[in-house]
Amino acid sequence: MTSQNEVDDMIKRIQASKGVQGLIIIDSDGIPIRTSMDNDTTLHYAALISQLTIHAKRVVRELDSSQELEQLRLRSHKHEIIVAPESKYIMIVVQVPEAL
Amino acid sequence: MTSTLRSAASVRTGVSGGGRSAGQVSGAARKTAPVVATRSVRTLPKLIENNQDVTPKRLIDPELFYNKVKDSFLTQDASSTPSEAAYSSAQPQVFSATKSMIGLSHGGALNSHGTDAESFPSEQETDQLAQSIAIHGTEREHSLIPLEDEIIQPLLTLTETDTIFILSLDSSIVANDSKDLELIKQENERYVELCKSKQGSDVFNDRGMNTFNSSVKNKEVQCERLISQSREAYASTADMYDSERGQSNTNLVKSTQKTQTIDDGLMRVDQTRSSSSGVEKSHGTRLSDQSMDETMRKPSATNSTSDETKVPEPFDSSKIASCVFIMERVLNLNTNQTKQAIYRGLTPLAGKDAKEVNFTGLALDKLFAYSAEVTSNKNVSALGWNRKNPDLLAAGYGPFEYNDQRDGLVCCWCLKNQEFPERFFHTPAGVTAVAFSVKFPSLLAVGLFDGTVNVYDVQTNGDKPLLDTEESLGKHTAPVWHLYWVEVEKGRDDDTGEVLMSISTDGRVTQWLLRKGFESNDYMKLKRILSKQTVQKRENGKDTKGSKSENLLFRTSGGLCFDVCPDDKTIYLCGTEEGLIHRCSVSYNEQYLDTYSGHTGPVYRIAWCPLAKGVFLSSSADWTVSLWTVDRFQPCITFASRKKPVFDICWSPKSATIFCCANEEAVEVWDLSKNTLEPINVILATQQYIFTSITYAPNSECVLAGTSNGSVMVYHIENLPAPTSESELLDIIEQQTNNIPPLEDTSSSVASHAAAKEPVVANK
Repeated sequence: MTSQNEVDDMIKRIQASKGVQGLIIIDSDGIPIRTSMDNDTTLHYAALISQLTIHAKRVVRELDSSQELEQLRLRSHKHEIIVAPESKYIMIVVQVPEAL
Repeated sequence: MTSTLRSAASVRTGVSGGGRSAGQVSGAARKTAPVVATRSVRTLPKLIENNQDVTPKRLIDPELFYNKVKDSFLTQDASSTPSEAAYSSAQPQVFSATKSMIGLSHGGALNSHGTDAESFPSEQETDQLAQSIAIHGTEREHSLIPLEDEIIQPLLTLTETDTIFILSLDSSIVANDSKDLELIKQENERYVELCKSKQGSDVFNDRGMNTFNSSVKNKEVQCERLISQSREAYASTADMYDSERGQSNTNLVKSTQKTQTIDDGLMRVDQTRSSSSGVEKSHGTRLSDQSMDETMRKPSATNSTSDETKVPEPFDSSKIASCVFIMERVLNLNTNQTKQAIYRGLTPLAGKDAKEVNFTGLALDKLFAYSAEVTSNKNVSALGWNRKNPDLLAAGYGPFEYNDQRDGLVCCWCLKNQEFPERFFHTPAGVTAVAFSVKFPSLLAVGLFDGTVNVYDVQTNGDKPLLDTEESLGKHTAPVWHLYWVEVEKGRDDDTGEVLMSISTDGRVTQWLLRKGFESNDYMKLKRILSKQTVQKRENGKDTKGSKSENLLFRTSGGLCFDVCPDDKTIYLCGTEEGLIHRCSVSYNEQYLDTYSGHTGPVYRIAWCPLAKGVFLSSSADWTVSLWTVDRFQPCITFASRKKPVFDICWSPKSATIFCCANEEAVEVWDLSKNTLEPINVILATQQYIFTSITYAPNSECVLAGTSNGSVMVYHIENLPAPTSESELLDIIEQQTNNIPPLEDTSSSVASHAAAKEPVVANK
């Protein structure tokens, strides 16, 4: 549907959005494919988040099998981690919301 | 003697049919086992398989043994054969069972004897003896021959062993005068009877059993260590759901023990694979363990797994398009949550910068602005809302003047993303008008500076318009200033029930029909039926007031705006460059119904009041906004507050006396019920930009104003007074009109109009 260029543009815009600290895209094996943060942090996030995503996916599906996990948000005092899983990839964005 | 005989006999039988005798013993427990001393050597049945004699060989050869025994026994030949010596010396050993022999004999013939322990020992022992003797015998035999030369005469001693009672049932004697005499006698008799009856009776049957005791050999085999793996499958509800649909891809998770046999890398792969497809994998109880492992493994193992499993495909970001799309909006929401909430009319979360708003009157609060790089420095010339999705705003970017022609742009903005438009279409010329279709909400009609009208389908993001009027005959030759989708009755079957009206400086108000193969998604072509040029602007405009007929050169005057009466779709108003407003009908294409004059400059905008009938506003370059009623040919009220042309006006959809106007330098909100001379609220534009267009949000208390530098600002109206009704408006008009002396000359009326118009507050 949307071409790769457009999606890349969107990704760039996201990175430039207000309050966004970093963006990671990991594939189904937990390997970071694209990241805007430093390596250690990226790997750390990738490992932890991918597991969490699996758990979350299970929760959603167990409760109602027809549903799939669309988005997962973790809000802490300092920032918010938004996880959006797709079929093969997981996108993680860390943002400091202005509203906080 | 007897004992030895017995022992000898038993030896024999032990050898040959040891099992048998034992069996007999066990079979008839009551009798003392008559040891049948059979001399005949019982041979084992031969097993023949495949023409081969596979009878298991005895460990000892009974015949040999028998012969030996016999010989040695009978002849008493101190034959100096060591075998005999062995035998004789072995004799006392018969009943002193040496444990070593026992083991050997057990392997021999006695395995089935395990149950009857009493009677066995002797047999066992004898057997052992026999075997040992036999062995010895055979051994000795070989050695006998060379030793024959040296014959030694051994001393043979025969001794008698103790009597071994295998079974002894002693009879007891009872005195005649014992108490139980009768009983005993009866017992005895009964027993005698029993014995007699036993002979031929059917009840008792003598039966002897024989069991074969096959020789048993122990054989040991060594095998490789068995590796066991446990597999578990855990079916969750989700798995069951999937498999119902045939989509299951359950993999059995190898919850393997970390044995050394499993390759480490392989295990990692398994685990990662198992973790990847999330729900479909079964984790069983090892989930936590695996997870922990993965935590620790993944950072280090990522490289190896990718090498092992597959070559990772190059990252194609289009796959996560939807992800990214949503993410962008989510982020936006996060940053702008308060503002969006306000837009929606919700009470926002108390942020740390919650202002103390103490305004008592109407206030305008800037929320955000739709602007992006792509729209920078472009003049917002038109704003239009989508009918279906009231959050979707189409903004047309294009200059007003001719000398500034550039490519135009149409953007569709959505509340959810303030930083980038949902759609944008580049147009070859500046955009001057936009309108969303009513019937087909995804159609967007765009009027351009060069006179073409394009129709875009906002469902796609291509730059190519769906339809355009480039080649049509009835194409406008001058900028199209306003577009409007009108619902009409279907003339023919394949009509869509909707026509597009446009007005342009070339003096025509035209109607466009979209015909032929009109389906909601793919239009094949646009048949431009320049139906009745609905109004020939100008023509013989011999109005009393407006003298369009000044020019014989130009028979037409440029139309700048129009608005269709909300009550009657066939009536519309149009404003011209000369400042005249004509009321026309679609059925008359030669004449105007009415003309309103009062403006001294081109009329930029006309707007019917949505709430009050017959009332409309007009804004013009002569710095004024006029309020008209249809029956008066002069403006009822004129608003003027600034010395700048008023580009745009819009009525408040809820309140009959509130409207907004966009001056060059300010957005003003007017409330007629409060003040007709001044706007009740003003937002000033900064130096960098001017306001060029304005519109109310249909679903929110917000006013959106477009500027000349490409951003559309959203202002929230706070402290909105209670909506006024139509009647109030009319009352006000009455008041005003009664104040104004009728029939003034144009200049003064203009002035009063000007005065009345300017208070139009552009706060919409």
